[in-house]
Amino acid sequence: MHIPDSMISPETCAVGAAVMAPVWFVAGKQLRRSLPTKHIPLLAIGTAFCFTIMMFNIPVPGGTTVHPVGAVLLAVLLGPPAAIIGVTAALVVQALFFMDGGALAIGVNSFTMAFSMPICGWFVYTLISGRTPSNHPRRAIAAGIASWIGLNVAAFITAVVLGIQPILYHDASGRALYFPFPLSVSIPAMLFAHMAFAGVAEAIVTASVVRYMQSRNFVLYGTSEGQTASKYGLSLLWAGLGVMAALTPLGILAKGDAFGEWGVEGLKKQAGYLPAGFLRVERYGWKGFALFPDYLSDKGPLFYILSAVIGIALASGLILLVAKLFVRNKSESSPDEWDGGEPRGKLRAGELPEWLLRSPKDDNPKETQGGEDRTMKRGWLDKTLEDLSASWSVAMQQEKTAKLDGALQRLDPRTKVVSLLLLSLAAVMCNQAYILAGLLFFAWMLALLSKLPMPLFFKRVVTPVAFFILPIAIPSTLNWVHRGHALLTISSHPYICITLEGSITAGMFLMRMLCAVSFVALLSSTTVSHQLFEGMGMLMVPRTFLWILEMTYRYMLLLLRSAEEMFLARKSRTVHAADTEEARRFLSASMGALFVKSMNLTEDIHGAMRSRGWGGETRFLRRSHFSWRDLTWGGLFMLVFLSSIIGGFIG
Amino acid sequence: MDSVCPQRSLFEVRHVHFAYPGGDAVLDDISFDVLEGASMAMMGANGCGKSTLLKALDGLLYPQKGSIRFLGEELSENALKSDAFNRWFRRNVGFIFQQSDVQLFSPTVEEEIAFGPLHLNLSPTQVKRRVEDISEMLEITHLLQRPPYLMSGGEKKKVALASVLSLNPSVLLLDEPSAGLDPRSQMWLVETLKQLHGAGKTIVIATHDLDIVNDIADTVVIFNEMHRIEAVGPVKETLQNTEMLLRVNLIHEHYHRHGDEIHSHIHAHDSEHKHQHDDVE
Repeated sequence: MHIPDSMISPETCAVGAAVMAPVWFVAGKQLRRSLPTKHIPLLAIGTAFCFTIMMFNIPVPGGTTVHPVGAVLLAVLLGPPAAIIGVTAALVVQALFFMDGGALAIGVNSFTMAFSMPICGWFVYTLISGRTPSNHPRRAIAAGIASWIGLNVAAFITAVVLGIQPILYHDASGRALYFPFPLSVSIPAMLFAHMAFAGVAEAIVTASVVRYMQSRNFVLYGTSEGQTASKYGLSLLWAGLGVMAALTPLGILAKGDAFGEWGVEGLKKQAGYLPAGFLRVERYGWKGFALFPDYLSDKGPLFYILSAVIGIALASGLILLVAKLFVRNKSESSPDEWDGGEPRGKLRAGELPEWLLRSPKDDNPKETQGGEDRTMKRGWLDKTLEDLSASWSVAMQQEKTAKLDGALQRLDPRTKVVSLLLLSLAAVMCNQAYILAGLLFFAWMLALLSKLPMPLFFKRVVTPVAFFILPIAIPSTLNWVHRGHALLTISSHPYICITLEGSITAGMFLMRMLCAVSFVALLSSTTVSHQLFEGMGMLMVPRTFLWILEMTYRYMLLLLRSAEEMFLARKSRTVHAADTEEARRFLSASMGALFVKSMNLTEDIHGAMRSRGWGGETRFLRRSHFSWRDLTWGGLFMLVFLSSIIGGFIG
Repeated sequence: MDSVCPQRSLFEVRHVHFAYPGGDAVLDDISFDVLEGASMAMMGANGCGKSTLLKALDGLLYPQKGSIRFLGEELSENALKSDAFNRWFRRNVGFIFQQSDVQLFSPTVEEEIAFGPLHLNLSPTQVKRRVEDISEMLEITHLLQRPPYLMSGGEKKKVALASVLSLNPSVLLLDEPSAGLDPRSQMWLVETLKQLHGAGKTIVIATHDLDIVNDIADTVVIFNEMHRIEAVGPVKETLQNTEMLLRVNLIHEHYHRHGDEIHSHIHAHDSEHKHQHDDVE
């Protein structure tokens, strides 16, 4: 659900940020006013938890993966403002360090995952749980259902934001400038994966963790035993409604703009819906919007209804599943063949049971070393494990390259943050192939000058681009998406070919993406993490928020380590790859354990901070190392930025 | 045995009772004094409540019954809400957590050491000075710009100690300081604590490591598994009462087989487990 930069227009990014700014402001204020200082480190930990569970991949038929978010869980445990701030922080860390989601798209991504999701979830949760006490089982079930709905609302909004891109942004010939698929494709695709897979996982995790926390006497947020929170839960809902209202212009903008663009030729275009006009358009290679209504009525509703039916069936099955999950531990135990049967007396404390004295090979004589030997299948667990250690090593790698003695490493982090993000913005806005090529060349020269290991740098740039873009760019070259001059005919019946217009769109799209990712990669691989945070202070980000980010990053690495250890510990005790059912159960159990671990850490960290005089307000060592070098490089960056922007406009 | 004659009570713990929400009592009717300049060890088996008591001494938890006073002032939730009192108390008392990771929450070692002095209103130049001095003293200058997650357990402990010493507290509370350290780091820790004690700091350690107690403590408070105090007194006499130490699970009987002969002896120190017998085949 993390939208990368250049998948959406900078205008959309700006709208996202503009919408989120007041939300962040209100949520931050709420947090400061109504929560005890105790909750600041708690928040950092919750954020680290969110980050970590977003790495638990669930495969979806079709080859992609989806993941839970944890936003509703945070809202239920710590309150909606904490969830907004926490998930935003997790997203920021992901965008900056792990290239998951765009740096410019933070506003949009936060709107979906950090705002819509916890707010809708919280609303559903309060509706279902009513006035039940904190430890009532209904609350756990309510949280589960709420998280399913919340995640799907977020997925829906993501799909809408993506789907309106081709309507809003296209060049004169109707080629999309950004995300090339219409709503009729994006909505069913997103909703199906999230309703059927990520949503179910989200619900199970949320319900189990809430149930577990209840059993540990944790007082859920907003319950009578807690602070007087119902009041500010409400006021936040009001704020949410206000923002929703403020958002409606986006919808009008979408329609108005689209109509506006048709405006001059609009009436002429009406012909486009008719077969005659259709042929004419075909002949002159003129496409445009005539295609969309067709698409919509054709595949859209069917897909839509199908995924909805599956979703509803799953949702009703979910309650049974959750209930089943809770009673499992008590009754179920399947004795192993060699363990049961023999009558035995009670062991004295410290006495070894008889079977422990036997050699392992006597345990199961049927199993011999030379027996059947299957290659182990890679399961989800292995995939997750790989992800965990990969993100750890990415972080370590960054610390290493940031310490090399290169051109960018010598600059003040603030210079780098501002100028490289601006350059990334310039790349995303650029519509001229030669300027993009120039920017790309510039970025790679900078990488060379910074002595970055080039194969590694290319790998880091190309991987996300290939992963996100190819599945989108390749179909967009086909005549189904962009009609135009055929370059290469794939099949004549039905007629499929690669069009010139489609290839140009896809090519520009790839270039833009490569460019933007290169600049962000430059920033993150030449800057030590804490300096990067310091540099962000330049972008008017409040210090306290940055500090939470820093702590999040630090404890996230700690949690990643323990998650990795948990997975390894499981692996060392199993021979076969876990089947899906088993893996699913293990994933949710380990996510729960991870959360409990985080909560325990929190108390102590808060104590450690108070013990050294912290009273809610944080102070920092200030240092500034601006030098002539920053001035020259900063000037150069500005020059490149301005000339590419101006060049883009003139071209 | 005491060169200084401690007189003033720093901490007065009176009939303290504490239970975690929904759990049984972890501290039950605890009373004792910590004298100024003393070096005191609180000993007991795992789970006897000594970590909880340390946190209460640091004003992080408040007893449900009874009271804890520091230099005559009661440590209550209300008292610590006062900014002035909080600052005065925090400057005087430093707490080192068992798990260094908990304590090292700043992005770099430098920030970590500066955290305490900054929050207790020292001037930037003073803060800088303290960071420099303390990192030279503990030989961690080369670590200053490093993030804490890249360090070894021994280095983390040094940084944790530095981050508390930079406050120049008159009392140091340490929770299981030797846990998880290799022999050389343990040795270093003992020497450093002795040095600090020699410089007039009051030291309170919670531990079950008898080695470290013999090395640095002069008084000991022994907890039993009923979460009450079993004994208080000077180290030498108290630790000679093996029957009592057995009862509170601080030492255990250990059986050995040497050839045909079985012998048993009482074990306390971890290092004794690795002892050599000449007649082993």
